[in-house]
Amino acid sequence: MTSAIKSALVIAVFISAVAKILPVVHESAARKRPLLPVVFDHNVHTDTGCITCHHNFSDDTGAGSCYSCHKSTPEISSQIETMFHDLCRDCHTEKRIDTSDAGPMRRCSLCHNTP
Amino acid sequence: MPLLLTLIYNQAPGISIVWDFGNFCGFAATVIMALLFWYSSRPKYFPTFDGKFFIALHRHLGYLSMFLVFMHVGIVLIYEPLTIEYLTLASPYYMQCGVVAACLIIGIIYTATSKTRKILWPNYRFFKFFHYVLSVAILVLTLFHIIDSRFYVNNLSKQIFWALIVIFACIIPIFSRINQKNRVWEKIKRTKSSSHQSRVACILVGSVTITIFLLISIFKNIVTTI
Repeated sequence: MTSAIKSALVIAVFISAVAKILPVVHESAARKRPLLPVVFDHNVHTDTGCITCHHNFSDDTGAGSCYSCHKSTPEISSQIETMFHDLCRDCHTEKRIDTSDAGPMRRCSLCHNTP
Repeated sequence: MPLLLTLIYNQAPGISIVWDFGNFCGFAATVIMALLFWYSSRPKYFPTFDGKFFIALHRHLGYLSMFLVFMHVGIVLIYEPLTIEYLTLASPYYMQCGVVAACLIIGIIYTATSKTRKILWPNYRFFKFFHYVLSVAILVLTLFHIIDSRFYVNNLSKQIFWALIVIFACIIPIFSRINQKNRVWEKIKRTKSSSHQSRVACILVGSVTITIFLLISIFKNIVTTI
């Protein structure tokens, strides 16, 4: 059983090291990465309330375009991908389950292309 | 079976046949990785078949798992080239976990081949220890990759289910060591065709798995589009 304890210790050290290093590496790399082009058609999103995306209209957290805050604010700039993806994907997935007619859920090129 | 349950209960809508199939290959690779802990190359107290068969089966299932990982990465990258962004350091941590796990799979297989193993570890005990630690790391990283990708494993019960599979798989080798005192397997007659049998078994398992998941992908997308 001593080897089992050793294994557990090594695994715990490995996981904690990975858990410490990955976020740091990710944050600095995510801040430096240029944004991919995104196509967003307002006309097909008219049934969604404006403040669903433009939260700053109601909570006064910023002004200007989405990217101007989400990319330039250091506290949230590393999470920009997760934030935007979650907002779009979750809504599209829910709609697809309900009505089978919704925007892209996972396929990158359907949103990330030049108009 | 775990993937079938994941797909049946509270299922996520289909994205496209190729995309879904590519991701199912990744799930299949994970399940086979977990199976490798059960079908370890260490002979059991009461082998259910020729002992050498399982030694070969462990090796061949490892190759099958790596092949499915290559399919997962390859299919998704070819079908959706922008996913190459997920291979960079700026990608979310769960994607980095997947990349590290895929690299470790290549490493674990390379270091376990008899030639490399004998060079790196003259003492077999050290090899076993290293192999176990590395395999647990792969499985845990894969678990993070699956759970936080949050599409097919899309609710808490599924997350707990996959976590339990991983925990159970990681515990198996610790307990199976207890049975090593009675070396019953050494008295069992070994057949020379064991390696060939296990290779055939792996090819069959791989073919059936790929066919089933391809059919599920097609069915899932037909149902969604209807």
